[in-house]
Parts: sequence; C-alpha cells; structure tokens
Amino acid sequence: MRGRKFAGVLVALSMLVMQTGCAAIFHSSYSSEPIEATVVDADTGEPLEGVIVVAHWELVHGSFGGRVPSGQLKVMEAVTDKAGIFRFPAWGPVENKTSGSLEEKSPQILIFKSGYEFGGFTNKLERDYSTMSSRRRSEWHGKTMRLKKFKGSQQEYARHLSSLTISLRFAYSPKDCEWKYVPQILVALDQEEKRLSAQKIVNGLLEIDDVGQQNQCGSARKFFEGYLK
Amino acid sequence: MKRLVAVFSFSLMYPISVVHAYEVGTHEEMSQNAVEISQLAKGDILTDLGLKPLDENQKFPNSKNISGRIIELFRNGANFEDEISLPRPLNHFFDPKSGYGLAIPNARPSPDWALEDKGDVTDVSGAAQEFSYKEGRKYFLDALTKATENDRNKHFGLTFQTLGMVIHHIQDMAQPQHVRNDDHCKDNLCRIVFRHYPSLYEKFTDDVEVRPKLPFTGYAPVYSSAETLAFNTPRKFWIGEGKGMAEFTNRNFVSARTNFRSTLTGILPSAEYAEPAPHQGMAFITPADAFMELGEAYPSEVKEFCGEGETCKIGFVQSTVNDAFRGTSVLNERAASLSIFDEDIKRRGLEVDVSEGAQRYRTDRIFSLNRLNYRKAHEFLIPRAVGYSAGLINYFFRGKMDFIPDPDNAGKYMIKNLGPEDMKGTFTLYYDDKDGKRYPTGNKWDLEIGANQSNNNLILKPNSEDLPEALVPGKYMLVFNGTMGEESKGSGMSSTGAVAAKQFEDPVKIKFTQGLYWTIPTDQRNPDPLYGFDARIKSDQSVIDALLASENNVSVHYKGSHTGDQIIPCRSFGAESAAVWCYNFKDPSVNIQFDSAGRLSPDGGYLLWDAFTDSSARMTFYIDDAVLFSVSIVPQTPTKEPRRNKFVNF
Repeated sequence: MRGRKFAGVLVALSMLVMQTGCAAIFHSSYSSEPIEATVVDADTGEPLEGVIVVAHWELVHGSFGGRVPSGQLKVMEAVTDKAGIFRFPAWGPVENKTSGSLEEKSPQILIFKSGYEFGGFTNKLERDYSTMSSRRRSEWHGKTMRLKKFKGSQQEYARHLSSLTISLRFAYSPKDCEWKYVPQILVALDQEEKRLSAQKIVNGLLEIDDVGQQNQCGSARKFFEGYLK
Repeated sequence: MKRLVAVFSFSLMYPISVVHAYEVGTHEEMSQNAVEISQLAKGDILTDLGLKPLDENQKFPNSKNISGRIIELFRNGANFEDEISLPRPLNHFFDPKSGYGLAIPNARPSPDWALEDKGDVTDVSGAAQEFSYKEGRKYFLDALTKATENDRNKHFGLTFQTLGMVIHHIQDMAQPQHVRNDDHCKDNLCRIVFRHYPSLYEKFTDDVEVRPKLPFTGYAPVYSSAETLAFNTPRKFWIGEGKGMAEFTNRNFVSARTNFRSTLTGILPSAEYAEPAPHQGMAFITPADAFMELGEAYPSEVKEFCGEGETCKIGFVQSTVNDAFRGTSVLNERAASLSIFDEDIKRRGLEVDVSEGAQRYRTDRIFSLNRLNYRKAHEFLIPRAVGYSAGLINYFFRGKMDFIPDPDNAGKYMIKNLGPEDMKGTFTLYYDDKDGKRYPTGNKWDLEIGANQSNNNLILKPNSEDLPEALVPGKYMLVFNGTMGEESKGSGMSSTGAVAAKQFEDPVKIKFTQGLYWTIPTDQRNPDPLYGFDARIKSDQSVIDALLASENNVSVHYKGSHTGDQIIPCRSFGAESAAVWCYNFKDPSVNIQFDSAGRLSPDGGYLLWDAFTDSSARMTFYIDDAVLFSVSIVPQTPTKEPRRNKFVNF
C-alpha cells in the first residue's frame, strides 16, 4: 500500500516535471482574434476562389520526445470567395483542458487548391515566448497569401501533397474526432489520391477511409457524404 | 515500481527533456522519400513477398492496430520512434568518435538501440526494445511463415513500421547535434538548470514553409544492387571506415555548442572535434541581404543599428565536406557564421572571452549557426538522410532468389541465389489454401548457395494428399532463413538470421488454366472412341513476350499405357511417335490444340488417338527442356457431348 502511494507520488511528480516543461506559456484558456486574408495567384496576382483554408491551434507539451501534441484547441475550415477572401471569426475564451500550451507560431494556416502548391503559414519563428498572451492573433490577418501553380511532374506533385498530409496529421490521427472540422480539405485530398493512384503514381496521400477514430466518431465516409458527391 | 523510480530519477536528474532530432513531420517526409527511392518502389521485392506493388492499395495494421499502406507504416514508424514512449528519444544520440550516446545512465547509443546487434537492450525505464532491426527480422520471418493471413499481415505491418523506426535513427545521425552529443532542450523547465538550448536547426527544418521544400532527393541509396560492399552490416550505416552517416555528419558539420573558435591568429576547429577544419577566408553578407535571402522583412531593430550599408556584416566560415563513401569533396560556403548576431540574426551585444596563450581578449563577434547556415547544411544532410535510409531498406530486403526448372535435369528444379552474398540455411516451401492458411509443403532443403550461384537437381514433391487444396495450384512461397553474408542466426546481430522469400508459380509462372477433353461423336470415328484435347495455357504477358522473342518450342510428352510409357524428347519431333508433339510457340493467346496429324496447332484440330484407360496417364508440357506443367488424366466414359476434364495439377 505504501509502495502504491509512493508510486502515485512519483507518477505525479514525473508528469509535473515532464509536462510543465512546455514550449510555451501555459494558459488555462485561450481566445483568438478574427482572421481575414486574401489568397491570390502568385503569378497573376488574381484572387483565387474556392481555395480551402484550414486554421488550427495546436496545444503541445514537452516530453522526452520533444514537442508532443496534446490536442487541438480549435480547428476551423473556410473557403475563399470570388475576391479570394477567407474569414475565420474570433473565438473564445476556450478552456484548455490539457497540460499543453499554444506555441508561439500558432495558429497554423494551411491552404490548398488543386494544381497549386499548398501553402503553410504560421506566425514568425520566435523562440522567446515569455510575453505570449492567451489572446492569440495571426500575423497573417489582413495580409495577402500567394499561391504558386505547381510546376513539376505528377510524381513530384504527389510528393509535395504528402507534406500537406503530414501537416494534417491532427485530422488523420485525431485525438478528438478533429477530422469532422475539416471535411473539404480531406475530401479534396481523397480525390487527389484517387486521381494519382489511377495513374499508378506512388503517393503518401490518404483516403477518407483512412481517417482515425471512426469507431468512436462514426463513419467518415457517411459523415462526408454530402462533400463526396 | 522500479521503472517508475527510473523514470522519476531520470526526470530529476535530466530535465533536459527535448532531445529528439528532426521533428516527427520531417522524419515522416524523409522516410516517405526513402521508401520511394528504395527497391520497394522500383524492384520486385514486394511481389516476391506475395504482396502488391507499392502503388497499389494494400494495407497492414501497425502496432496500434491502425491499418495503413506501406508508405504510411514507414511514416508511422518515423513518428512512433519519437512519440510511442517517453524515454525512447534518449537513445537517439551517437558520437562516432567516442562511441557514446547521451551521457545519461542506461541511455543507449543510437545503433545499439536501433539494431540490438550487441544484445538486447532496455530503455532508461527498463522497458524492452520491441522495434529494433533484430525484432524487425523476426517480424519479417513471421510475416512469411505464420499460418493465418491475419497473422502474416500483422507481422508485415510490424516489419514496415519497425523499419520506419530504425531508419528514424539514420536520419537522426544526419543532425549534427545528435552525433556530437549536443543536447538541446527547448523546455522552459530547462531554464531552471541553465540548460535551455532549443534547437533552431530542428524547428527551422520542420517549419511548414521550409519542410516541403527540403532537398530530399539527389543522393542515391547507399546500398543497391550496384553497390553492396561498403555496407555489409547494418551498423555500417552508422559507422564504418568513415562512410557511416554518423561519421559523415560528425566530421563535416559543427553544431550549436560545438562550433568553431577564433583566436588572434585565425579560426580554429571546435575544442571538442578536430573536424571540420575551418578555412581561413570568409565570405560576407549584410544583414539586409541576409533577410532578403530568407524572404523576410528586415527587422527594424537591426536596421536601426546596422542600416543598409557595410556595417554589421555577417561572415560565413567555410569548410570542406568530405564524403568518404562517394569520394567527393565539396565546399560548404556557409559552415558557420561569425558576426555580432545570435542565431536569429537579431540579438547582438553578446561578448565572449578568448584566450590564446597568455593573451586574453573580449570580442562581440561570436560564432553562431543561423538559418542561412542551416539551409546550406540541408543541401548536404537531408539528401543523405534519405539516401542512407533507403540504403538500409534495400539492405534489409537484399536477399533475392528464384526457383526454376533445372535445365540439366528434366523434371527437377533449382534454386538460384540472385543476391550479392552467399546463402547458407534452410529453404522451405509453403503454399496457401483457399482460406489463406499457409502450410509447409514438405519440401525443405538445407543448402549453401554462393552469390549468383544455384543449387540444382532439386525434386519438388507434390503436396501431401491430406493437406487442404491450394488456392492456386502450383503457387508457392519459398522462404530462406539462415546465414547471408555477415548476418546469421544467433550471431548477435540477429537471433533470427537472414530472411529472404520468393513467391512463384510452378512452373515458371505459366499455369494450365483450362483443359477439356471430349469424345468425338460416333459418326466421325470408327471404330474406336476418340478423344480431343483443348489445352489452354495462360501466362503473364512478359513471359509470353519472352517466349515469342525466343521462339521457344513447346512440347508435350504423353506418358501412358498406349505408348508403352515412353517419354520421347522433343527433339524427336517429326519422328513417328504418336506420343510426342512439338509446337513453335508463336501465338500464346490461342488455344493450343492438337490437329489430326498429332501436332499442336493454333488453328484448331484435335488429337485423335485410341481410347486410353490407363489411370496413370500423364501429360507434361515443356518449353524447350523446362517443365511447363504436368497433368494427370483421369479416364472418363466417352460421351457424345464435350465435358470438363479431370486433369489434376501438381
């Protein structure tokens, strides 16, 4: 009995030691200012309509293994309008139920349109996070994001898109059914996977059926039915 | 309990907790690229294992029982090696100069952990290593020999995931801090013990804008069919005659805390490592140009101090990057920076003491590694991380063999060792039944076959009659287990020994797909019942093409009572034997039929002969002297209507 108590204390202390060592300042809740930005074709400068945009605020904690995601505090998806504009409303405060924190670079914004290089945008790399606030803002608010047409072979395009898949790991290997918040980008990548596979192009893209936690969250194919038509 | 104490002790003693190398996203990308340039993507390794090619959708479960394609499983492995358990990354360091890993009790040098070639290991908490090269070999053998399809698939999943975890280490060896035991904690907690050294290199490399554009390609796999000598053990991918990944990185790159030094007389190597040796000349760039090159706005605080002009220039220390494996020497124009700035090219005013003999002085010019240095380092390190990873994958699957008819001994077979190393061990033949269960056929040979040699005169015994019917008659899995090169059972490197496999169809991928015989209507025959054969064969297009190109002869030998049990060589074609026919195989897609003259004909026609009643009658088809297939013929009562034959494949 004494041994078990001691073990419990050790576990608690170990977790404290390991998990309070976050790569950012811990806050018990977070909120975010709205984000509105424009996506244009990098070559022509013309606004791009129908670009899928995902913003996610990832909580991470320190561990012996480095930055480990604790979960997603918020995941949002939008599509650009005719003027190439997308908008994410302000949110919060949202309670942080984990021991993790938002990193300085959060949120990460991923944008995708078939035939273009995908875009990844974060706040500037800054390793002094002592002043980080619980009220978050994206440095990309009010800015213009440029998307380049992909120039290369289909095999190179497949490889490029697999990078996007890796950045969307939070949706494919979810902790809390996160894939439900990003249906359009997952369906779009599912279609890219089918298109590339039909051409016998080796790719690391994932299908709708590959998303995790379907036992707990329900069938992804059924959930995305409306988007898959 | 002991494990808890160990973990806690570790956490108190060494809160420098962030010790992995590249971020997991970068590892996933490197692993995927490695698979794509490996023989798994280009060769016939997967089909030899009875699997589909890499570009087809086939899934296997990982250790978390989540199914994924082969590339995903490698990516899972790349990810899990950092994240599957807390203390695992402590084993991701290896200094090839000293042979040590991270200076923590029970933390293992990377190759000891990843390979277990020096014996079984546990992590700092006492947990056993379950995903080493050694374990991967075991999973691989089980994937080939386990009875149920589920079990085999499970072990294929574990094999690919485990290889992903092993090549994660190769990639870590391409991060200078990991081969110079330069720990780099980014946790705030580390500030408490004054060991807060976050790795800009890792964070920059994994940035969502940087990672997709990393130079993953450009360095061919270090182990391939063309190059097999330098890396003849897995450990050599880490260290061996200066050609290992760890040696390359350690020798050619400084790290954040093992950077160059300067004295009044010049620039020196780091205090810890004599290499790389810095060149004395430097190239310079203004901070404004540096930020322009990075595609970033010139920070106002730097501009205010330095302006646009010539002040505050950043000097790039140069060194030579020597690749002992490929024998190249290339100038690294940006091995390190010497300037008034820190690694972010932002802070300044830092001063350091420099001693040289009796002279001491302070300087505000410090050595640092900024993003421009790292971009240059990427050009050398990332392609090699991929090329060495792909090489290790190729090495793991290097065993290659074939099972074909023996040209010198009709009706017998030979095993060809197509690999670069001698094979000594057991070759066992399995087959799958209609439920996917795998059984040993009873054919098992203990052989020693030299590299690119063969062992002939092997008799292929038919499956025992009490075994279930085969899913595809004549389809087998040949599994080798034993010694191949330096890898052997119980050698310390692997308790399982080397493993190789080849799935094949007997004979030579061509199978008898349909056979009919029927009686000829009585009004067309007199006086005896006559029979016709419609023997159709089907083959892979590549085999058909090869046959057409070579103009092989297809011959049929009949052995039955009516010919006096003769087997007459095909070369006797044209002789007056009713039992032998030859046909020049010009159109493999047609029905091969026997015409009235007793010849195989693409144009139809039937073989006519006396009724046979011999229950042991057998027909054997040959391509030249190689057995194509052989069938037994079970006599039937003649009828007027065609009906299915009772040919039996074996």
